[in-house]
Amino acid sequence: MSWARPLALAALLGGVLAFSFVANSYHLFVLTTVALTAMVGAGLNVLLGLTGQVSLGHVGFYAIGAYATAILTTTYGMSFWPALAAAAVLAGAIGVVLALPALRVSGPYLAMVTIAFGFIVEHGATEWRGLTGGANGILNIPPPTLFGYELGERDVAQLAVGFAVLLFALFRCLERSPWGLAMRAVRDSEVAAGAIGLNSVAVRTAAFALSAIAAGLAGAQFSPLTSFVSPSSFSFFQSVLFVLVVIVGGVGRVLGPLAGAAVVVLLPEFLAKSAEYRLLFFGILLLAVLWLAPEGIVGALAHRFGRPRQTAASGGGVDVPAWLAERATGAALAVEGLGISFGGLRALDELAFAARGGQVTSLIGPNGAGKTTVLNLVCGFYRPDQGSVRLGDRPISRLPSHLVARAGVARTYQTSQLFARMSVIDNLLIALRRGRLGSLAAALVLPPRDAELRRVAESLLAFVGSGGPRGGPPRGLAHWGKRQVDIAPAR
Amino acid sequence: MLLFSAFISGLGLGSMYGLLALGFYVTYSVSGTVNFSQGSSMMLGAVLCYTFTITLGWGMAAGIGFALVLCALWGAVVERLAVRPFVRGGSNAWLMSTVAIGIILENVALFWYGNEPRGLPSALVRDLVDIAGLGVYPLQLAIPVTGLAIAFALQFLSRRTRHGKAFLAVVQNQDAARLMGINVSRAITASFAVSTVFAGIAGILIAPLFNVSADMGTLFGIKAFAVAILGGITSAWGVMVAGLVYGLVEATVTALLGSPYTQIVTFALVIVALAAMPNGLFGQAGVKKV
Repeated sequence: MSWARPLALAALLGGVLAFSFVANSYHLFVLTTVALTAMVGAGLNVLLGLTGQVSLGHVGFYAIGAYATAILTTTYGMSFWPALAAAAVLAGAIGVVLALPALRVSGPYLAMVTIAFGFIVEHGATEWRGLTGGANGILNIPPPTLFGYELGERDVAQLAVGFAVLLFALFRCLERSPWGLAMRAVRDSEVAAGAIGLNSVAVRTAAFALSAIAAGLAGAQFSPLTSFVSPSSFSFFQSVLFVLVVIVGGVGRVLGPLAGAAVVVLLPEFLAKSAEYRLLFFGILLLAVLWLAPEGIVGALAHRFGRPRQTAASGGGVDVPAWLAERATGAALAVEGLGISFGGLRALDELAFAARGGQVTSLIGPNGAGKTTVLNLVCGFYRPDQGSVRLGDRPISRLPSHLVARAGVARTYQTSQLFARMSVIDNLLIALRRGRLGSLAAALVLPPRDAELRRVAESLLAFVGSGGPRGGPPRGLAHWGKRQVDIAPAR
Repeated sequence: MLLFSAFISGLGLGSMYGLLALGFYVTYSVSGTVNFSQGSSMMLGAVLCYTFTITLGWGMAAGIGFALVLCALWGAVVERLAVRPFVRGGSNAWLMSTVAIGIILENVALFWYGNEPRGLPSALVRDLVDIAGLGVYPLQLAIPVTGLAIAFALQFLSRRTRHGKAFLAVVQNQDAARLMGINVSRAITASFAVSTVFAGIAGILIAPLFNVSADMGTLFGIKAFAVAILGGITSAWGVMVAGLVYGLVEATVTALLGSPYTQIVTFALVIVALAAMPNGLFGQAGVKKV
């Protein structure tokens, strides 16, 4: 019943909009806060859910959005709508700039850069009195006007809800697009992602920038909410709360941030205890969710009520040998004078061989001879100290691994480097793209046109003899056969 | 003169950042995880010391001793509850769970201890000592000395004692260590206990200078984390040196530009430093094997 879910969502949206017509001023404020928080959550879901990177400084982008509209509409008298656009662009630009240092590192290092960024924005807003009004903030922010009509609280709330719906739709599109697959591949195994032609720095930068733009858009609508912004709304703890929204809702789930925002904003309202308990409550909630329901609310619900997309093997219908022959370039792999040392150990010295196209060439040797090292050098995972590797006429020895992969070199690994949290079919779909993901903008709005690619993938799986279900994650050695598929020199 | 005073206070704070950062180094090198609640562990040491010595009236030695024992226990608790369940499967969830447990500790302390900062009197901050014309509390000199002494002790103990060598073995190759009969999970728990003891010592040392309050740890912990990252979290000396450098830079910026700009400038420098050297100042990128 594929209409059940969209119907339920439409009903939910209808209910929320109906509520906004009867709600009082305070309820509208809470509703808007939920919507704005959900927007930041949707953006952060791209970074955390798809790409697996934690940011503890996203309140910085939220603040930038808020101050941008506040300053542009008060000091410069700009209308709200261009200010909104400017805020989003500014947040995105700063996101890209921050991504440069942030994404050379990952894990705790990235967390540190984002924490530092959040503090700089918060303290910068407090100190840059000329621009931001300092600790007193900016007052009397005018409400947005549309064709002369001044937007009241209800309109602001509905606008926020509308934007939240938009962001969720964009997320859903991105998730299924090649970019979404690429982000999950980079999350699951950066090494393997490089070996199939994905530029992981570019992918992560895109994710970071998108999450920054979302936070900026949300923050931009925060300033007309109370007609007032000050640095006290943008503390480090707020960044932690944004991450909490994504985790509680369900990391990587489209509607996760909606559930998370509802919990994070509404539950303290229902508990009605003093604000002091709020922080303790959130700490306990975060720990409890991580222990008991790491899939989050939406994830837990999906396990209970959802049906896994177990598409059975279908054969595909593409003639695999012909398809492979089309892609064979006949280029020879030529290695000359290759040498590398690890510390004091000379692992390879003056190695030379040629592997001609259309043939099987075997490299044999005893344990520790350096066979895997040769593979790693050819694929760009290591850089040689001497010598060169050429594919046809093209030197590839000092290219990064994703460019070597795009040139046409593919490999398997001693231990399986599958993208463990992606389905079998998705593993193939991303590998077959050989790093070509199309435009990011198209990924956000257009459905993926991958029917042809899916048929090729199914055929390759059948060719290799892999008969299991396609929709689930790869498990067990039987799926090792799937890796053989990536050797096929797809172009 | 202003710079000399900044030098002394920078050295003191810097060595405490370094001490907390040593805690990060210890757990990261053994298990690849960090205790993001390190800042609240520091606060725990100070609050417990205050409770034992002032509220309950015990002697300094007993008060400090018991406070540190409880800190060690807390470290074991953190590892058991917030880290061990999440390390399997290579997930990053321990990052957020240690943040969560730090928030919990800080707020429990807030309820129990109250939110007014209280001073911790100490014999070392009663009289000023004259150093080159500047009045300095003996504690301000004792702090960097203690910090460096602990760093030395860590190096010495890890190389000269059996337990220390077992720790180094786990750092270098967990699987081989296990095969040699070393109880790796106990080593990891011990590393967390050691890191919280370091934090507790730092808290007790700076308490007389900065007052004890439930929120004294958060910013400190974040800066100590920056120090650990900058020092290259894989090098104990790197981390200590980075701490001293950070403290000195921070004190200099405060002296020259005023305290409102301290956080902005130092955090901006952290980002720039990480952009230039993603493995920190002293760390090394390990050779990956695939």
